[in-house]
Amino acid sequence: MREVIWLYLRRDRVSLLVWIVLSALLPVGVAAGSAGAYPDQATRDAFAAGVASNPAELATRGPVFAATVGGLTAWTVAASGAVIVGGLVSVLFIVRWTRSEEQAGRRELLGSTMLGRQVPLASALVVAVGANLAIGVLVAVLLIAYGLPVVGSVALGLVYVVAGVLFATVGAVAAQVVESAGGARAIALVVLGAAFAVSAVGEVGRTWLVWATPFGWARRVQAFAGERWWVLLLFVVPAAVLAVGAFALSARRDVGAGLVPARSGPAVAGPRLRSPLALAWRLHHGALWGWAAGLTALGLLLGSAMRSLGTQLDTPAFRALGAALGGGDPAEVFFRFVLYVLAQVVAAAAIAAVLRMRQQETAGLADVVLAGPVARVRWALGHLAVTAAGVVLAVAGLGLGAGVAYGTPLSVVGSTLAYLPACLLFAAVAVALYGWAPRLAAPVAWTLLGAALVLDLLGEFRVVGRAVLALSPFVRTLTPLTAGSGLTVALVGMAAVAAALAAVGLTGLRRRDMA
Amino acid sequence: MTAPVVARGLVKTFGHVRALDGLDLEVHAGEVHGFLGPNGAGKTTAIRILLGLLRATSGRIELFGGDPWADATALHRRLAYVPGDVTLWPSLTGGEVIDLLGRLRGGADPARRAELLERFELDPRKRCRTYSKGNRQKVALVAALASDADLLVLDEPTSGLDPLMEAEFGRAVAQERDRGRTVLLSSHILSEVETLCDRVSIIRAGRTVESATLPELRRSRRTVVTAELASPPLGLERLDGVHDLEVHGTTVTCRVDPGGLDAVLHALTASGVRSLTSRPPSLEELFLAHYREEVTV
Repeated sequence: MREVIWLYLRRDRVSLLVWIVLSALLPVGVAAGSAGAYPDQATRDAFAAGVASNPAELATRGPVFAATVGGLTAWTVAASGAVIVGGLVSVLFIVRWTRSEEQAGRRELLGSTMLGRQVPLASALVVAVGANLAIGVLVAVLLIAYGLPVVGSVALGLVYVVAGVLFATVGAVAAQVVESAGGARAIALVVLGAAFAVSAVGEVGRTWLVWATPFGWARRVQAFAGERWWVLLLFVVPAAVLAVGAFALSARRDVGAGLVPARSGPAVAGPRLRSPLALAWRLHHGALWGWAAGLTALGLLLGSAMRSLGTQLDTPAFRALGAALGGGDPAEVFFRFVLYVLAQVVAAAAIAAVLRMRQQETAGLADVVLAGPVARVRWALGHLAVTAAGVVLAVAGLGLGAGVAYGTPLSVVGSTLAYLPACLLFAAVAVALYGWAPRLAAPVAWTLLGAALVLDLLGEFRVVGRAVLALSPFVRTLTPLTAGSGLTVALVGMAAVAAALAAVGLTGLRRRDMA
Repeated sequence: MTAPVVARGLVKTFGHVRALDGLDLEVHAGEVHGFLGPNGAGKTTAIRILLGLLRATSGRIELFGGDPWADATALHRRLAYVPGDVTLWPSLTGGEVIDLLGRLRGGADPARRAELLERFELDPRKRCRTYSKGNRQKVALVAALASDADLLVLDEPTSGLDPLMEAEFGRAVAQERDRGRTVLLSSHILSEVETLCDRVSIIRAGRTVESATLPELRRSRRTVVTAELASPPLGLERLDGVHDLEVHGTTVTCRVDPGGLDAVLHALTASGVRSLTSRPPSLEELFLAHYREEVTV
């Protein structure tokens, strides 16, 4: 088992280290930002009151439990840092070490040696738990070193540990259920997304649903606000159950097989499967409909939550907040903010879709098509057309769901679609990189999206000015959207840059060697 | 009629590594051309340049008289390719992949597809992720053989096939040649090349060391002579062109250069020949001879 643990650590030492260090730095960075932006109790109280009256903030981050530097830090990172980032990365690593290895046939090589059949899964969980522990310890140590209360720092560190471990076990079970790594990741992502949606509805409506998901638990450990240690058990119990379940499933099934057996498929291809575009559609339409359906459901949930809240929202406090943000119907202000956050999720999906081209290339699947009378640009355009269609469907579904449930479909769909150019811009950056520097495409594209998100956070704590903030395509969409003018110019500009970047990328693709 | 494939002094470097170092290759229309070399000799790199997937660093390469990099799309209408390491889309079935590749090339003959599936005993309804290496190779082979391409480029196509399927593959390639198609077959399985190929090019470390028909190759190489004599031989070791001489009493085995055969036979008959066998060198011996030479250089 030691050897297998060593193997995982050796393979992913760089990415593990980056994850641990960045995760550990985020809370202390937020603490420093909060202290800088809200130096005295009066400003912090005002901020907390603003949050309490803003359903968008409630939906994405929950209530502020204590208007202190520690309290604001926990409010910012408990759910988004520990559950979303920690959970997501834990899932990706677990699936990579278990199901991906099995799918690639490397698990068999290990299995033929004197290894017990549970060793690969157990080793993966050991490394994931270890990495999350390291993050938790570093988070606590750095916060204590920064000068925050010891008890709260430890509580927040523990939230990081248990949230990461819980989703590691979700990933472990998903990896047993289906035969493909992509399917396992999709299952875990759906669990994460559904938990987020349910918690958002719970927080906005202040119902029992806040106790139904890890997002609500992470907030209600109440680090720096009268810690409630027993809430940590809410993570530990399902994690233990899921881990036992994963081992039980893994003990029962054949190596390489899932619980859901692969069925036979058609012996001949359908009449439409005759072009690179049709192939890309055939390969990715499942994921595409999944995203669209998930975001539509999320839109419906948020829209109906807003509808039931409509009258409660019409308070002087919220109207003042709305006026400061460009005014309009309270619901419109709310949607503007929620969509702003969700557009970043769609941008991530768009980058992932573009990078599938690179995966096809390195797997040798591009060769098979390009050895036929298919130009490289035509092959790439097939992928990109499906990517663009997916982004449009996801964004439109989100807006339509929210708008229909709330009762004003047109205006909500309109302000949702405004984020299309920003999402496509990130996809286009990935295309440009793919054409000229394919190995850098994934790390640089993800880093740029990460930078946009960090910029957002820094802007919120007023660490950076408006001029820097305007570098983010999302801010460039939101600002004219709230101001009510200059939107067309901003969107056309971004769309033009996106088109130019995509064209540059395709030119590079024509000139370089295929991997 | 121009040769389907012509390469002259082809060089391809990856950073400091020289994968191809002046490769020459000429495949004539209607022949089965064996492309021989050990692992890492540059066979796959050369094929990928021929397909326009890589760009040659220097040298000339022509596919049907055109430039495979600039005119890849148009030229690919006339060829079908089976990669050495076949990967297929895990969620598609074998039948779907065969149809897709056929349609991308402008359509394939359904009767021929059915016949090939039968011959290679391939179940087209299975998802590609469940196929073994040999079965993935069969999918690519059926797709290539069912097409009406003029040139088949096969990169170690039998490395995953069992002996029965290998024999079936041999018959299929022979049929394709009889139908007038050209085949470029890269391999390191010498018996396969020996039975299937009209001409071979042997490459080593990115360079062509020999390119000829099998009879030509054999003619230029040493013949293996074994003789049973009436009395121990005299003076054989002094003759020019005699190699690896072994004498056990009255039994003699040696390899003889083409120019030395006459003198050797005279020397043997002088000792009274009881039995005599002489056979041309096998491809394996030719192949090994090339590598031994390269090593001693």
